[in-house]
Amino acid sequence: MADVADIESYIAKCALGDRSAFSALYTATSAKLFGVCLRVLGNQAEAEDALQDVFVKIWRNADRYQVNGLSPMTWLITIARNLAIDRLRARKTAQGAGLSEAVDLPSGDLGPEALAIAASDRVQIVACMAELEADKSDAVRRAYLEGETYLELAARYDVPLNTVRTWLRRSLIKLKECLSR
Amino acid sequence: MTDDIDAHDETVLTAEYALGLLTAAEEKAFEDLLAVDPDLRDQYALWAENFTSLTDDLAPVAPPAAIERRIKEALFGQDIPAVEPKPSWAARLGLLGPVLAGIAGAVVVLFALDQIGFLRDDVDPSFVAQVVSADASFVVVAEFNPDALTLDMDRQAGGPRPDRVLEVWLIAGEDAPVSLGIWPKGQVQATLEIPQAIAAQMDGGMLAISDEPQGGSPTGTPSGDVLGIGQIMMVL
Repeated sequence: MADVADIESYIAKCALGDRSAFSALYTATSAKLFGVCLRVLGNQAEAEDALQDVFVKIWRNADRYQVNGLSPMTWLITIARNLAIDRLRARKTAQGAGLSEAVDLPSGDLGPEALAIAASDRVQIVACMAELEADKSDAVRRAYLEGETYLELAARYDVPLNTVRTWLRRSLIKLKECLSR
Repeated sequence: MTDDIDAHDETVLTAEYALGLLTAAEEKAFEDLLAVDPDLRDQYALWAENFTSLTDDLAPVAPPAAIERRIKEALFGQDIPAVEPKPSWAARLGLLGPVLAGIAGAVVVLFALDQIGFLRDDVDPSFVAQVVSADASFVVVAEFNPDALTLDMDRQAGGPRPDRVLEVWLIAGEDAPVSLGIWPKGQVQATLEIPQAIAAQMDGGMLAISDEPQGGSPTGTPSGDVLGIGQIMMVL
């Protein structure tokens, strides 16, 4: 089983055009990323197409992944999640910007310390989400895993757009406070 | 600029960005900030780590085996190692016979060049090729001048088909054909300028001429019939 350092090294080698590293990366991560695509899209054929986009993007953007930025699985999952959401939104409506660009940005310069904090945060967010009211954490989850927009959330909870925006923002602040504890 | 944003707003905005809740315009504005603000990038990284863990309980699902092959084909295309070694372009074009005939016909070429006045008394080497079809219904004699970087061509038999053009190609080694240009319409003799970068590959390469739609091959390699092909040989 490939560990974090292995995956990081596969990505680094992909950036140098190493196809065997790409195969190793695919073997190590495709099932997780396919699971994410399936969860977002809920459709086998679309998830397969999305997975293809994901690995094409990983190969082409491997040189933008920096060891000191996002942890490797976060980088990969973010690519998969964003491309799947783009596909989902394209299916639903032309509304919303292309999320997949997000990971093209220079990643943060997190040192080992910050990464350790991030790693503990990862466990924490589940606990912190539980501190939110059920419909609030549900909304955050829907935004992340189903790409729901403020407009869709407003319709779902049958509240005005500004109301849903206000309470979701408050929830995000609470989340942040909980995560910083 | 980030000073204008109070800490809460910044936190919220970053989270909204990571969730994809911003409008296109807001997203663009945020990315402009992100590009210049390392602290904001750290914040984004932390949110991304956190939100990503919402996928922790998603079960991995092995994708169908065919997907990996599809992805590699999409990425690496025909570069995927085939079971059989790739035949050369000349062999793929099915024209090795005429090439050999062309070498045997070198004397004919030199004679022809002399006739059309290509050969002069200069001592500089030049390169000639007889681009010919299997049945010799299409014959072009060409001379490449490495100093002037020109390819002088003389069409001695055959020509473009109606509403079609002739496109001239260089095939060097195992590389895919490189277009040298389209034969100027209606001319029997024509000159093409050869880019310096390609000039070094002319020696020992092969010239091919293909039948193409107006404007040339849409694919970047010969798309229509290859009318003739010939080895480029050095002459003094």
